[in-house]
Amino acid sequence: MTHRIEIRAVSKSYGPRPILTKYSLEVGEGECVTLCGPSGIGKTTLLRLIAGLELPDAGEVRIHLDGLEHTPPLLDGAVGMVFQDLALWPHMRAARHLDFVLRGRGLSRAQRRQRAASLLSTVDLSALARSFPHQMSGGEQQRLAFARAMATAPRILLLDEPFSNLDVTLRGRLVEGLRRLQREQSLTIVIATHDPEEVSALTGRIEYVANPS
Amino acid sequence: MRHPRTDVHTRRAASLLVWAAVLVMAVLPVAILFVRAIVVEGQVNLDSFRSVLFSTRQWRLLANSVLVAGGAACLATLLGAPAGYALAYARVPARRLLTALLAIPALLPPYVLATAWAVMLGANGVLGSWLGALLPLGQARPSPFSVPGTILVLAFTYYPLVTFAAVAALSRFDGRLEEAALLTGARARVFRSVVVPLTLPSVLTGALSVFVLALLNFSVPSLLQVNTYPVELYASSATYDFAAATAQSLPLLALCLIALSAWAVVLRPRNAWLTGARRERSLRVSPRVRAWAAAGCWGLVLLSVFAPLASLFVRSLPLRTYLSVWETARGEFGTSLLVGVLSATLLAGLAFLQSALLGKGRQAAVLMLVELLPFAVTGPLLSLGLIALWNRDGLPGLVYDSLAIVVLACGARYLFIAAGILAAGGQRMNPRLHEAARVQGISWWRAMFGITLPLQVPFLVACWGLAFVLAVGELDATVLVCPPGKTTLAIRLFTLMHYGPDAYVAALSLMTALVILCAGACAAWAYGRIGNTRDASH
Amino acid sequence: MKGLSMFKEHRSYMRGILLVTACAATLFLAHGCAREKAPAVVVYTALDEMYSQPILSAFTEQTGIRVLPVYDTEASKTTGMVSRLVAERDRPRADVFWNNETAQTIVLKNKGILEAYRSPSAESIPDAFKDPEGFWTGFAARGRVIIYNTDLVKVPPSSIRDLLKPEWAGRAAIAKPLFGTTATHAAALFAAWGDGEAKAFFHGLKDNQIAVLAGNATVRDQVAAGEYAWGLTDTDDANGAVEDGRPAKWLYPDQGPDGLGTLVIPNTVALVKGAPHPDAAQKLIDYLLSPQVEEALSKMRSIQIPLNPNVVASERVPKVSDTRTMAVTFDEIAARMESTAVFVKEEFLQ
Repeated sequence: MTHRIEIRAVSKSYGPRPILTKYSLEVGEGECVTLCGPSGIGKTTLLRLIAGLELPDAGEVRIHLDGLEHTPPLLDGAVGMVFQDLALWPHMRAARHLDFVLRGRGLSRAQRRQRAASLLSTVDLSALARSFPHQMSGGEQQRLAFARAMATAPRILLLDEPFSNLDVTLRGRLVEGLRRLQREQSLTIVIATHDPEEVSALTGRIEYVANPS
Repeated sequence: MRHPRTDVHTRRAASLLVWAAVLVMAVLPVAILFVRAIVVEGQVNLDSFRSVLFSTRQWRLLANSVLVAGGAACLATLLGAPAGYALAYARVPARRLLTALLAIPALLPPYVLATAWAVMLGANGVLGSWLGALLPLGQARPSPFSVPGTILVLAFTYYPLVTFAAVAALSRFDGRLEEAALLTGARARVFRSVVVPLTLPSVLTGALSVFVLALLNFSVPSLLQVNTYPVELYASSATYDFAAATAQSLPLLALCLIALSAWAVVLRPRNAWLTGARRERSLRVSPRVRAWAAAGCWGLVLLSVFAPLASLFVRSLPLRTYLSVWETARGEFGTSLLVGVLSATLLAGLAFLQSALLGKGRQAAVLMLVELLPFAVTGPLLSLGLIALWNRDGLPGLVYDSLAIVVLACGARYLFIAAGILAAGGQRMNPRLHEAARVQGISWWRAMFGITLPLQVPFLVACWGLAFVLAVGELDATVLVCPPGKTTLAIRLFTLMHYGPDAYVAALSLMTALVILCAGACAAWAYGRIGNTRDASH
Repeated sequence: MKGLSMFKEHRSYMRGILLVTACAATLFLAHGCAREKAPAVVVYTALDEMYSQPILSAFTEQTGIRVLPVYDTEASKTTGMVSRLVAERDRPRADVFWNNETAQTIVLKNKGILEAYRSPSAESIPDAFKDPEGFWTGFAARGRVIIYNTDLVKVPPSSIRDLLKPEWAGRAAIAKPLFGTTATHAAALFAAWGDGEAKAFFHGLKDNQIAVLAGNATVRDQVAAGEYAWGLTDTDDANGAVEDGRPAKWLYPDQGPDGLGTLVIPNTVALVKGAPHPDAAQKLIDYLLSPQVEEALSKMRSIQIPLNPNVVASERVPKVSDTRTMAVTFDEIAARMESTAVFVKEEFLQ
């Protein structure tokens, strides 16, 4: 197994309010796991723990990559994430989003440009390369966020409520794209959603995050 | 690939540097005074504190100070709050112009307005002659050189803080609350029982800041010869007892702390009631009310901006006075601009680093509290601390002998304002934007310069502009440390003001006001042009 | 489209700010390097800038020594500057202290801030106006005078004790005896009369409803405007009213053969201990005490009275030798400044 996420008895609370209590989860390579549960239950927190944006109060998060064991924060592009509100950078054009991410990774300017162009074309945004996020529709913004998350060729992709802003058609295309990625690059995907119906088309495990009591 | 942990270290180092800068700039000058006051010949000795704090004179000074500050806060609220509601709720015509005009008194140095009011209330002034005719013969004209005069001047200087607190509150007021109330009851009652109570905490926050600024103001009571704590601190009695002066700052610190706790406990939680997003509300005010509101606003502009400036202008005639001002005070203009630019950049830079590095955590809160310290001990005492800290051989001496000490004085005094603006900017910034970059393996520093900095430009511009305006007008802390042979506009003006408001002083005041208003207008224009991106960055 | 240019503009604002700052910093550094070329002397002066500045410029013209002045800024006079001198005592920045009165100079002497220097120019100045130990020298004085409104007063008062007369109840004025020359005058009365009589005098003023105004200039203005019939002020203020053609005249009080005399308060000049430029400092002191400076000061609107008998002043300036002055030394006055201030604050100004 070349990469794997391991969450062992993790607890996390904000102030006096416990969000996660001794939660454990394992996700293997190429697996697609959907975290389900009502809002406020800790799904987003779990994703943030995997991404290394938060540290657990107790327990461990481990990420195994190519035989090496890491404890988040990794923050080196091996984990990609699409935020619920997308978190696109309002002052950057679409192409610049990707260029900004690719810079500092040992690529020449031409290589960066080429890679950005190919990423944009995979998400069908080539025509909007010079647009700012606020000039795009909701679906276009979503695809840009995907392109950005995929820019560093991550092994693990985290998606926070990825379908909430999309209509049925767009949702179908997104699921289609994810499936292909999962198949072709053996990408590990963790999705947080309040509505498991949305991802039923993606084959994979569904984990219910329960209320700590 | 870069090791992800390296930027943790550089960040920690940078945070330490920010802490060090704040400590050296703002805390050490105050600390050195307190240490020298408490430790006498190697022994802890609280005699000076005891003798100062338990004298009956203290209570009289305290009463005077609280009377001046409280009076100014009340009057400023009476003037400023209705104007705020008129601007934002009644939506009077020419709102943007009025808003800009109503901001002017707070941007001008208080002592310039004090001079203007002295001219206005003088025997030949607009108000003075009018009052003289109105009052029964033999009754003395109300003199600006009195406690009521000081209250009046300070209130007319600081009321914009209350106005803008009200405007800001109403812009965050969720219109749906009002609509819900309208469905259930009478239109007139809605304003009184829904709009006012919900926005009142913000208005009171404005009033509280007026109280603190008036309490700590030195130049106005000094000019109007009213004895308050800052004035007494400057004179520090005829004995030049610095320990006594330091002890005298304690009641002021206590009052500031009380004001701050009152805000934190009572007002801040209630400010959270306002959660609405900015949006245009439907008009609910009758044309008659709007006409009255507009008349009130213009009346206030007339009284607080046009009348003082026009009085100064009339006093400054003939026009050739301006020529002689320019010839004799050219150097001062240059010095003040230099100090203004350097202070503004120092403040904006440090405040940005502080907000970016320390965010909203407990450290940031402690730092903000610490930054209030040099302001709360009043300018004159701060300058004594600066002398004690920097007037020594070696590198500190180089600083003390140059204008750098003036820049440092401005920096120490206004750091909390600069930090406050950029902290507000940081809070408006969506933290996901930075995180989105971090997840992708972008270093913290690149994310800061590539994402946070560009998105904070509106706040940086506002901070820079305000810091420039404050530094050009700064007097309280610089008056004692300005190096020999160098004079800032503010110091020169203050020196000359004591000989009475003659044509030269009036002309110099107006030219100083012009410099400040130009800078303010530029900053406001730049902020206004790019202000709408705040919504985009959300 | 607005959106496209929006963020470009952001960067241009940042660049603008940085550019302006870079220019300012360059200017600042250039400024710093250009300094210290010509020899310089630092003087802290409490005499109004409009009078002291021309004198200092003339010194530079004559000697080529640049003068770096710090002017006092406070209504209550000199306290700020003296605070600064005391605060800087470990590393003095000032060479010369030029005060417009005596009390604060003596405070500085007693605090060990000053250095003794007997200037050769001071030889002709009467001993009463010099520190016996040579720490300071007086020159160009002001006298305490009665100013009266010629429309309201036919027979002018001749003594400060006339303030207690019922006929002037509520019709005369003094300045707040906490600041400037009025404070010195009050301390001089305590020194001359003793505590009991002086306190009785001040309580008498209160009982007679004598107005206490902000400063000597205010007393002058209000008397000239007819708000009060007469009052106590300084020669320099009083002369202003006369020069402006206001209906006011002034005279020295208590000039009778056994009268109290009036108080004459000189400017004082002193060398600061540890002065960074001691040679230039002595040159400046010698210059300030020279007859030409006393003459120049006597010709100004403030008509400072020359102390050097060799100076020929115009006739509108009273000669100090013809004036009956109070028989107290400045050290005696200085010793009573603090207790007088306490009395005035606690009992008189209530």
